[in-house]
Amino acid sequence: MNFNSVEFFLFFSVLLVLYAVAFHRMLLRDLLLLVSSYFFYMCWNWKYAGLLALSTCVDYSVGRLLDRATDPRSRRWILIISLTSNLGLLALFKYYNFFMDVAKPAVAAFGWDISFLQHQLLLPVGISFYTFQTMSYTIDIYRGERVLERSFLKFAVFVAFFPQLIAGPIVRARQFLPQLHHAPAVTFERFNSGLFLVFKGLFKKIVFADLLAALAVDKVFSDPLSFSSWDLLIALYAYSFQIYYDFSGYSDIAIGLARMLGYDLPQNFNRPYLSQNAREFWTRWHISLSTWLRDYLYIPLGGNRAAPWRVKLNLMITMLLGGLWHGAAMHFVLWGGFHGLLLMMTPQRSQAGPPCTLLGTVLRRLGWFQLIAFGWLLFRVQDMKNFMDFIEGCARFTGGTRLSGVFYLILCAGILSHLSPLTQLERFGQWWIARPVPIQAAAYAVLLIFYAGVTLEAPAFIYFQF
Amino acid sequence: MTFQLLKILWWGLLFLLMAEVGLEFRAYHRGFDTIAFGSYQRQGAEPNAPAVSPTIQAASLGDQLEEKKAGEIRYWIASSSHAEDSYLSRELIFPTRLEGLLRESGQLAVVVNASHAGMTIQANQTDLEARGNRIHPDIVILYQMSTEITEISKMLLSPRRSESTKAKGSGGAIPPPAQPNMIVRAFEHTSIYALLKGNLSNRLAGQRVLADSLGGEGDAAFEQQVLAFVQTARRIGAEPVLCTFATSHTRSQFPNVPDAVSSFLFRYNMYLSVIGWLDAVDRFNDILRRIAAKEHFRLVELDTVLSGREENFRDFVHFTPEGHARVAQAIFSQLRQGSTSPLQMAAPHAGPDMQTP
Repeated sequence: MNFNSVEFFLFFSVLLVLYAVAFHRMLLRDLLLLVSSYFFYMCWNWKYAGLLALSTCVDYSVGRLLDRATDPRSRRWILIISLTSNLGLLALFKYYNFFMDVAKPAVAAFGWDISFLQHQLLLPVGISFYTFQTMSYTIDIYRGERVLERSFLKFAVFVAFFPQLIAGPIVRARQFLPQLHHAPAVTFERFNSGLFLVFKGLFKKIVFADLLAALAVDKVFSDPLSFSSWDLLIALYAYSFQIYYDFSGYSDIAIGLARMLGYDLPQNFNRPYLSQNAREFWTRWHISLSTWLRDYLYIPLGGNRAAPWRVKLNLMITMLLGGLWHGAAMHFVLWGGFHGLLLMMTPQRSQAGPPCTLLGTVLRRLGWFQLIAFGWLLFRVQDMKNFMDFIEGCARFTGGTRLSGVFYLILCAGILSHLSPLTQLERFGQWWIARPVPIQAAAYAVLLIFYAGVTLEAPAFIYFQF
Repeated sequence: MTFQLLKILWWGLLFLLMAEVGLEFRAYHRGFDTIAFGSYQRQGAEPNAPAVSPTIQAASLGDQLEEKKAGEIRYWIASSSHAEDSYLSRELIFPTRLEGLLRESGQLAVVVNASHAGMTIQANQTDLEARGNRIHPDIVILYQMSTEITEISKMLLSPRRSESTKAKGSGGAIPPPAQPNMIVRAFEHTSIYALLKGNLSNRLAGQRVLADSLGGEGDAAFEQQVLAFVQTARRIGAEPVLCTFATSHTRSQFPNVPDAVSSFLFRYNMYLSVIGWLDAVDRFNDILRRIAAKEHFRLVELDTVLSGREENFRDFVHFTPEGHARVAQAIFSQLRQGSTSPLQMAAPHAGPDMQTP
């Protein structure tokens, strides 16, 4: 059940009515959120709800045990239980076959065939997100943060909360759990601003991301050698915007839905293509993941309080694992490594030179965007052959285009929308939610109809596969 | 949170309902079936005719057929919307007309119209397997192509599908397209959906990077479907009859194909260009001819008889009443020419609108 589907529209409408009934009874409200979240998850594949429940039970119990244990050694062992179970699930469902593929040729040199050890298990949707979320909970308790949740129900809601269950933002316990202990703040303004965010996210997803994909990107990437170099370059830029609008659209919808229910989720994007270097990019792109990796991987590795070579190594390890987090394939590892390399080459804040002129800033942004786009090529290709075909197609330096005018129009609109100042968008949002309800409702009805009309294939969000 | 907060949703729902009812009213008065106003009175339908479409009736008729009488010959029409024309009454469509012609020729004929809009050859095959042994058709007539082209193009040309097939290393096996669920199917019956599909989605689909051919893989997929169907027909003891596919415009008329045709094509097909579609029709018709020649099947050359003559078509692939009459006549003529025992037929008494063109 995607956010951009008729089914979800019905599901959420029914949930809102039930939520209004249950709103003033905390237990009922939490139960409703939990049941609806599991229902939402089980619409994808009911069997894997067990994994979600298992992860919830393990980390709830580990949290309680950590709270009681005082001996550092036993605390460490309890934490290891949580890390092993969470990472074990990830390893089994997401990385097992990848490592088997890597190991197979090496083992074959000794004349052994280990193909029978491979499994055909589906990757449970959202597993990378909810395991990171539950792991951060137990690590925070281990570190002595006061985030322990004694109510199993509330903890289960925190893990399974459907707006962010499948593709984030990765919410920390201290951000979300306290909200479950108070009556959610649902006011007319917040409800309507949440709805506005949902429609904004749908616009990003359906009009920008999906149309860019459907009109050109998917076709170009599936057969790069049949397109001119110009088309390949434009498709690469288009993919950069597609993935941004797809994922930030999802985040907007998630934040909007949560706000309509009275909860706040953290921002996940801040116009990333306006960044001027790798470090700035990672403070604007998938913020909840980059801060997670910083807090739970980079800093424990030593962070930047170490010798320069060690800092660079820490950055590379963090980004390689960050790449691997996205998917069990070599091109994701290469993408992570590429960003690690860029981060290594980015000077530390203390070494940064004087501020640039306007022209300098524009050039830096443009230059940095070329590097990000190249990174997206590594991210998007199916395999290394697809990558080499793409490079070969670009290196031919051929002109002409097979892409339609409508595609170029949508790409330009997407770029302009990305460049538009945040304050203007916020001001528009505030102005909009102050309009009379029937006017807003009529506009949303028209938008819904429009979305249905421009949906050609209704693909799932890209980050669902991670 | 109170119900008061949800009023924006009630308003939104109200506007959507108003839009749907308004569009249904408009659609109904333009001759379409609607959810709110019911079925439109079809062209040529008698006021008390039981159903505008023969299919539903024929499908149930097929299940309720009595034991076969001595000398009775049963014909099974396996097609899709071409033989279940929702715009025409059952008296005007070719399965009914064919039955009329056969009976006029003195044959005790029953034509079972096993066609539904959207059916593929595989669906026809499944249906034949399921009901064929009860109904015992003697002759099975297959008239299919447009749905097949749409499905094959989805399977071969959808970039995500081809990528996922490559990624899974399935060795070229093509996964079947996912079927829409009940909620989506209900939405697809609304007038809003029909309006969007015919005015916005199809225009956008035409803006995609489209393929100009289905290539050899498409040929192989189509041939495999046809062969599987005829094998099923033989298995139940029926004689398969193939029909080439007819369209209002042919490849030789390209690029002088009206916008209405392109618009129609892109309602259902998002991967093939107009020339690609016309190319697929030509190639698939050649495959039908080849199979018929090789396996010694009877072949009805509807492509030669009807294609490129706009008076036979109300859109690119669906027939006008005249077109239906010509289809019925062409099939009848082929059946009569190639008839062998026990299908001996007398000369027909064709009506004035049933002349071979």
